[in-house]
Amino acid sequence: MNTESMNTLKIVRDTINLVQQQMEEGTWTKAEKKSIAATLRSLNTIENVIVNETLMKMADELNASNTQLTGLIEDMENTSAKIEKISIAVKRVSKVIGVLAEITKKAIAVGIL
Amino acid sequence: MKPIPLITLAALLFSSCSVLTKSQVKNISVFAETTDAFAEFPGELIRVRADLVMEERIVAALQMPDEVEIKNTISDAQKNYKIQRRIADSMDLPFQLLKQYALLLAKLSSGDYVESLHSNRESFESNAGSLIDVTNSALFKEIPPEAGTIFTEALFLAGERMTKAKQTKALKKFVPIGDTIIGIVTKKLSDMLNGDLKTIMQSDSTKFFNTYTNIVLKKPERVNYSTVSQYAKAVDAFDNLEAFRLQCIESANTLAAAHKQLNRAIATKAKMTELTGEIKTFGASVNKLYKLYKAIKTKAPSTENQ
Repeated sequence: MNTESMNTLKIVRDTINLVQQQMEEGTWTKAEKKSIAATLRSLNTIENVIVNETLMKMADELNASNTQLTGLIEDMENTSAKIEKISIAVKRVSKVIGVLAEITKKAIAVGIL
Repeated sequence: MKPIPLITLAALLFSSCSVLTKSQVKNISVFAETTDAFAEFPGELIRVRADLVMEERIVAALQMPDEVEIKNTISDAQKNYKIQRRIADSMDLPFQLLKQYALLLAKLSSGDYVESLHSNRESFESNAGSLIDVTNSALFKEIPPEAGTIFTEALFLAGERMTKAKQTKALKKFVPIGDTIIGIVTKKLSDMLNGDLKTIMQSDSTKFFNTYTNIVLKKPERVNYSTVSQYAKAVDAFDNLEAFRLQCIESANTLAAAHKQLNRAIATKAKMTELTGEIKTFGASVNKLYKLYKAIKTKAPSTENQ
């Protein structure tokens, strides 16, 4: 667990809460309100960076086994294709026998056999 | 007549090869279907979380002093939302691969290959019979007419045995590798969901309710049926998301346990009951996950009425 990032996130979010409360409770000029709004946007940006970096690290860790998984899937697909070849081979032999029967029939008809 | 005894011998030799039992095939097929359903959920957890974060940012925008600041706040929130959706998409990838693995596992254990082989049988038998008829009519007249059927029978029996033996060999090779990878991926998912993501989600909930309290509930002019209803829906949504997180962990663990059970059964040729406890538990767990997801989607808070 990334304790440092999580602690920083907590501090940033506590600060956002405080600034929001101050903005609602205090009496501020329009310029001051704009300045507080800018502060809130900056705090939210910091929060986004912390959270998104943490999520991206998680995604990278989850994706670490992808190469192995992809390799396994390719091997399985190749094996599946090889097994299917038995059926294809039988189909081919069947066609050859069919053609041979036709040729023999024709050869008999013209008196070669 | 020589090929017939040879092929029959080959068929007898192959007939000693082990094949998966019907119940093993059924267990693998249910495992594949359940993994297929589960694969969508880990990424969805991140997407649902992103929806709730967006909701908080919309509420926070109400506090902005003018339309420029409101638009800027929403624009920032939308950029962040898109980034989080992209991260969720990249989290989907390992589970989509697991799904593909499980579907190939079901294919390699199924009777489809044998069925495909047998689909050639009729034309094969008719061609063989025709060749024998033609040969008999012109030449020796000593091949028995039933030879075509016997020849076909022997060849297809050999083909079937060979196919099943190849399937068993492939499963014995691939399932242990799959088991190691599934163990790693599900452990990482559990660690992630139990670690920083848990902390982030708890903090998201606190932030949402702080923002809502500061900006809406403390302002009498903003409190009305719609806003209170939205608050109630948000409470529900965060509770459901937490339940969804916990259920995701349980499902990941049951997925690993179910695959381990398949691996053991295939390695030891153990007979499996109709559906093993581990596969049933995995199915029930993913079913709960689906129900929670449905609840989240139908009860999600919305700012439409505000």
